[in-house]
Amino acid sequence: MSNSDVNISRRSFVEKSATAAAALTIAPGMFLHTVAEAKPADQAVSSAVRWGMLIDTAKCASGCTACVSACNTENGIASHDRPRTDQQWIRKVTLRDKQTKHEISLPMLCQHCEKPPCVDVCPTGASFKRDDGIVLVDRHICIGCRYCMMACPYKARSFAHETVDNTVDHQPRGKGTVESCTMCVHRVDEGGTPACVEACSEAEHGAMIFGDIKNPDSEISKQLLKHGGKQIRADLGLNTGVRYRGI
Amino acid sequence: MKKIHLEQIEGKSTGYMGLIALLGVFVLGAIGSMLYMEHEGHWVSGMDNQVVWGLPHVFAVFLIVAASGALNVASISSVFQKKIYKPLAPLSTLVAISLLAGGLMILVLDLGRPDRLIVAMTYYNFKSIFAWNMILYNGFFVIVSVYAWLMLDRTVKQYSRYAGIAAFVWRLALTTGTGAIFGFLVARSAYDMAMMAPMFVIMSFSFGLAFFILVLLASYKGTGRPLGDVVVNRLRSLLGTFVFATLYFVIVYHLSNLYATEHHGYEAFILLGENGGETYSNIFWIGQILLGSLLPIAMIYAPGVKNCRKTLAAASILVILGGFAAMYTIIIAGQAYPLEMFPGMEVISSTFFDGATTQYSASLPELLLGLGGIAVTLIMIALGIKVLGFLPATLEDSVADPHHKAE
Amino acid sequence: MQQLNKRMHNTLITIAGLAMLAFSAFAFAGEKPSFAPKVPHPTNGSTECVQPEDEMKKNHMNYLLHQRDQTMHEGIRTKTYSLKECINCHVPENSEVRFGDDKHFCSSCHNFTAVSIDCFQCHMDRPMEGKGTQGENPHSAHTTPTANKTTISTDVADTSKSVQDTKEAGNE
Repeated sequence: MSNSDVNISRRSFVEKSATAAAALTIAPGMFLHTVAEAKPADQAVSSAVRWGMLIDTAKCASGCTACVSACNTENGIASHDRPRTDQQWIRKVTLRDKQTKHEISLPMLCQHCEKPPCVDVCPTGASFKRDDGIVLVDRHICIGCRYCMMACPYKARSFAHETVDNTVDHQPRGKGTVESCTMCVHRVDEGGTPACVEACSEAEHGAMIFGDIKNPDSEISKQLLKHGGKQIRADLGLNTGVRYRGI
Repeated sequence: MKKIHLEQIEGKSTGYMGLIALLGVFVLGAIGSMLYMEHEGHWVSGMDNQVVWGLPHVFAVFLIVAASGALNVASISSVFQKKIYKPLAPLSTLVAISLLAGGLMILVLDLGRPDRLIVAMTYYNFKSIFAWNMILYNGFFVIVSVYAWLMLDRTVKQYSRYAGIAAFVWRLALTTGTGAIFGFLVARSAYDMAMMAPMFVIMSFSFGLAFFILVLLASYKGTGRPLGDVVVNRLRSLLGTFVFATLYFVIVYHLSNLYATEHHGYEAFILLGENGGETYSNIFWIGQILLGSLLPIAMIYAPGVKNCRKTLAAASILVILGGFAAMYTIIIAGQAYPLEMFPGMEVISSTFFDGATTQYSASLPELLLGLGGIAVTLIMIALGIKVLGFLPATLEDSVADPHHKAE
Repeated sequence: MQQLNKRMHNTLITIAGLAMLAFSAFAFAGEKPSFAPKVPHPTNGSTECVQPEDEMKKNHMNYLLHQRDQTMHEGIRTKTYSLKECINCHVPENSEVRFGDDKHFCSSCHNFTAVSIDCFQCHMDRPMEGKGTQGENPHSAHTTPTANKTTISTDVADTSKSVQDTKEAGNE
């Protein structure tokens, strides 16, 4: 375990010290593409865009938690060493098919549904979906009833069970409210990529692709067209924005 | 049938004062627990990211469901025109309002941000059944209060029947809404069933009546007022019917789940205690079925106990205990059973307890908060019968029974 | 005797009430009474806020609330009325002062007027490391690659107009 950690950090060190041109070749198309789409700060998000992710379980390395660490650092999520009540926005899950014994590893996070059950059940409207498909909690009006956590089929939400004392200024979080993956909305609004996707790419796995699934020219749309992308619990008809290959 | 006299109780005895003081201690305990949980955060409770609704919600939902059921007696009298229940109708409204207030207090004090109650009252998402419930709860207070007023004030008494019908319709909506909170949860194996709503309605009849019977017996015993067997035996057989009906719904619920292969996992968990469900299965079989249903039925219908009040009181207590067990099974066990996210796959590893059964154990603050809710209910009833004439001065058979023949 | 006591008591309460009224009228008369808290100005030489000081004193909460909902729900991330930028400009980086202390920019008035806010139960009450603007021009520092100075100034006009609209709508 510690051995692989060393490898990862050495790898990312090498990358970070590399030139910008080198960084661009590591993630071809992706960064260039999203920068071109950055919206002006005073413009509201529009439904012409739908942000999504495609996760390739074949490329996702079992034991690698680069996406989880990146998310925690980016959003100021710290463990209190109480796993039952600690917040988790993204987690790694390893699965085995009961019949075939085939094993896969994948990151689970908010699936950013088109028809999110958490939004349906929220009594105050704190749980909502932006026009560009990102599902968020407006913690200004969240009363902490946790009904959304009952409703979410993906266990994607966490309740802030104790005082949060390490917030970062772009991601205010606080005790007594519910939170979940924001798809790094603060980065996305400025033309960036979610921290987990970036970290996966930096760790040279490239298992996660982020982009606009309504734009046929985006990398994610091309990949989806070519290889498809399945939904977890597609039977619920939620039309998730996060899709998987190899499940 | 003689005229009914409604009369306040004196409420000055040591027993009465002692009762209020004792209940007050429980209320303080609940407030203390709330402050502790809010200050430290919910990690000090037994609740976590797996079981997000815990013992407070068991108490709260039980009381809210029972509130609707406690209105039964009034409904039967005004909607279905059964004269024998008429003298009890005002008391029935008081018990209903008090139960709802106790339940809501727990629910509100357990919120992550109870300080934002005003937000809950001003921001509504009308697609949320939870938001509808807030309207239903508040409406219940208003409608049932008006109903009580129309019954107690002689000058407007002729309108009380209409208010009674409105209250009847409203409380059916309320329990339907409460059941739908669970019935509308599409993702979880234990929920996602339209039957939840009518099942909650039937449960409310049973739990609410059991609570009402206890209040009636206790207040007549405490005040030494005469209470005839005719009224008591009518309530006894009514309770028996409701306990049967509840059991029927529980059986149909599990039969439906047993038929669908996708729910076999949950049924093995709750019925057989497989996959870490031993405790929950025991609570279901021993608490809900044996103590909460079969034993009360036996005690109600056994020969030779017809006029025995102690047996009826014991049966009512068991129905209430069974009600708590039922809520525990629905709310806690329903969440403890893992979400079926990847059908056909088993979880090898996860840092977030995917595929793992949660062993919930309630903490003391949660229990105190729940007991505080019951204390609030009882205080409201005790004060109510002291301030206003909710309680008939006598319910002797010669007064209460419309078919009584003078000997 | 008892009656006299009661009368005394009532008189005292009336006097206290009048005094408080007079005091509040004085404190909010737009002048600067010496005992009202001084708003800590940025130390970067900037003397102007995003709106005139009187307007900010009266209506900062409306600007903030408006911006809050726009940012949260529409992804509008202009800096002019963002709480983060208030803090970046008015609270020195690495400041030891925390919200709640009388010296904190927000607390200085909020403690005085006893208006409690819960912003800082989640938001940072000081600039994040490397993000403070003390010592810089507050506005030029916030330009993003896509939003230059021109867009910011139009945004000021637009947002203040819509804040006005909201207020008018609220008055109806």
